[in-house]
Amino acid sequence: MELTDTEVEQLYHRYAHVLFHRCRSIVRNDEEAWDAVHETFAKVIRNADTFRHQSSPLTWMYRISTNHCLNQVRNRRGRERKHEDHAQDLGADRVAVQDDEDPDKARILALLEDADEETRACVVHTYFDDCTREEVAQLVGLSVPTVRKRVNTFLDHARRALGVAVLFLLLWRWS
Amino acid sequence: MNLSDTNEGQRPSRLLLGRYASGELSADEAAALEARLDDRARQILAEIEAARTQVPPLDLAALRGRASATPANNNRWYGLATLALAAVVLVVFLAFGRPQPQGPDIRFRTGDTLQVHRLDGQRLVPYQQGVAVGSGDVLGFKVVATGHTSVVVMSVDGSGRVQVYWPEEGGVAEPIDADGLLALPGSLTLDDAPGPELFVAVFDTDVAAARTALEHAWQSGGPAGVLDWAGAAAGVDAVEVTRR
Repeated sequence: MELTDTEVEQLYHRYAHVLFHRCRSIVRNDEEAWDAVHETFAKVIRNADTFRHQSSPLTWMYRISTNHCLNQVRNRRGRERKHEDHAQDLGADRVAVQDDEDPDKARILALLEDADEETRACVVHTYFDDCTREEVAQLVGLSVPTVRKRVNTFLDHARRALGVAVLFLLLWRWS
Repeated sequence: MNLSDTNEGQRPSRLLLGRYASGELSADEAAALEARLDDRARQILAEIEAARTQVPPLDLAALRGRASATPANNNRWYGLATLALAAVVLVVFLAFGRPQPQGPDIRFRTGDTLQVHRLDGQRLVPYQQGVAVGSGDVLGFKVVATGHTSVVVMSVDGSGRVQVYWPEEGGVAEPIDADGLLALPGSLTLDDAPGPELFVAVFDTDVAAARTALEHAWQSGGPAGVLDWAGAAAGVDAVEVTRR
């Protein structure tokens, strides 16, 4: 059954700021964070029947918004190359690009591009949402040992990709 | 954030704090959490509360429009669509699929065209095949929109790295609602990615499918594999750009 306007308004009032705070921690950009919030609410409307059965609506929203946030980070790499300076030469509209992302954090997020969807979710919930393994397991529908394995595999990959020295530098800067 | 300091239950997660802030926890759960709140957790809760002041007014019409942009998952309709597609394929095969011993091999191009333009001085000129470009050079793009409703424009560089430029974000392709040659908004400044770099337009599909198809083509044969795919597949065009 479809969500009524009143229900959507109540959900928005209750959760939008919480979800925005969370999405911004991943995308590091207010505009993209709000886009992720709105996309998530669109999915709430689209999947109203599923959403109504969630014991924790926020947990469902976290799960749904994760991929959107990571895709935004990935697509930003392309957008960074786009300029608006020459749009007039092609008779096209202007393109606004905003980016205040921490370059070190971007490197870790870039490593997630090559990871499968479950690993990406495990890493984001572990490091961005600071979830326990039990919480991550519940979020992604995997066992706790599998979550541990996915995260450790990603860390091994990160160490190889970045080099141990660089990784330690990142750990130091982020601590 | 500290990658070596995962949460083993010694502190409330950000998710739990978010649930607390949104009033999801029961009275007992909330009381138990409040007993564990440290400075870090209080800081996060304060940040969440501060974010409330940034919430833009809800545009219900826009939100419902966005929700209806992609149809809900409905396996029954997918099943019917598959059956309908199979029927169409069968009819087409019966009509055209049998060997035709006579007549020329005639192929109709539907305008699956991507054009690359290069900034020369103060104006963009059509890119000439073989002209080497490098870091700092500016490129613009046009597509033939006739017969199409959307396009995904990507590049794959010499290392196989795929980047999506249109659409700017999200999984829905850049809409094109005009006829003829259409300029895409914005331009690109090339970085020092390894060459050759191929720019690819895939019409009338979503970003994930276009990206997957490009990655598959690249894995099948590198730049030549991508060009072969673009030459053979409907709704795809590719332009190879030589890198300095």
